[in-house]
Amino acid sequence: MNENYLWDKTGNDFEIEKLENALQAFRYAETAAPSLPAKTASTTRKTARVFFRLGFAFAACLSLIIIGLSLWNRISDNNLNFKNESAKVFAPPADAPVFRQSFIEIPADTKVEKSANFKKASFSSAKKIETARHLSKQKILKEQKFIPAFNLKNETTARNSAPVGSTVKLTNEEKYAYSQLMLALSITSAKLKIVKDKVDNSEKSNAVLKDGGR
Amino acid sequence: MKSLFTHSLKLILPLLILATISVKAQDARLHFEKLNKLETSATDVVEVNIDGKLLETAKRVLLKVKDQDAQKVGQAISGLKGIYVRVYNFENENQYNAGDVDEIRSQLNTSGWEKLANVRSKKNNQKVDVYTMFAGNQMSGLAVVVSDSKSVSLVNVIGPIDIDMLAELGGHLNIPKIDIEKDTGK
Repeated sequence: MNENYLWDKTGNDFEIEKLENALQAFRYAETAAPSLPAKTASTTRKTARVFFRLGFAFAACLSLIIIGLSLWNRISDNNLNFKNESAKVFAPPADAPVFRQSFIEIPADTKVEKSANFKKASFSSAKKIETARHLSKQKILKEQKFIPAFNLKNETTARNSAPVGSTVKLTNEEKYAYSQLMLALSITSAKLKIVKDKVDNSEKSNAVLKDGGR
Repeated sequence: MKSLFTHSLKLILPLLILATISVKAQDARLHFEKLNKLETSATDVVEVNIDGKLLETAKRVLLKVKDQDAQKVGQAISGLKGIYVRVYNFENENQYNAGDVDEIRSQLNTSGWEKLANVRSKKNNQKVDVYTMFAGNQMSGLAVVVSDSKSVSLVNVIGPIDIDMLAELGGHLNIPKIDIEKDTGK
């Protein structure tokens, strides 16, 4: 094989020339560049893209609506519970021996004078309802949106409570919330104490029986 | 269209799961509506519902008050989400339908609730049930049902609460002394 013929077509190479003649029909003929069609965009592809965007938009809107509804439900439930919050307290529970409450409503612009049992306080509207000392038959109280709670005369309680001189400034909302929480917790703790006492008593009796059996 | 459906589903499904989880968090709540009819025959009724904003406000007050008991209570209820109490006292014995209370107890026989204590006493026909609900290792609910011949008491706590501390404080849970300042502005 003549390598020069392959490189720059100098000299002769019978085999290469034979191949060239056989493939002459497929030889490259330099012509002008092909002309491009006037319109190149395809409509079907554009439609799929639009649907894709619409799908995302639809899903996003739906998810925002779901989130908004659930948040609105939660907020409205919380507000409703707070607005309608009222202790239908008809009387203090009998089995909360230390817990005493007096729900005092004071008429507008009336100041309650200081006494040994009560601190001076004034509220926007009130009238006296009950004193917590009397645990006999109690009448049903009307719903009250604001029920301040006072710790009634109980000197032992007063001694065990906050140090002398400590004052806490509370808003009406805070006073009400605090009183409600303490009421609920006192009832809860009283009931749990019943269970605890029962369990302790049963353990003691079991221990006594074991000792007696020996 | 198939790809549109698939993509939409990928977006909506996680949100639906989140919504389901938020709803499930309220499963510890008992329904006391059936006991409303006891009000007509009861001598004394106590109904307390504390959750949401009211509970957060009360917790803030406990932090403000400088009292040892209040501090203990604050620790016991730091994770609390709600507390619901019903107490009905009757003048005479057997003035209410025990079946109504047993219906409340039947709610505690559903999955999720575990019996913590069960006390039965022939004296006064007293029945005491304490149930707890756990989400993993954390308590998510507490229910106490106490009934005897003359009274019915129900407590439903949503969220973790220190039962031992509350039981210790039982009988000593005082309302700490709070000097109410004169409201001069109103």
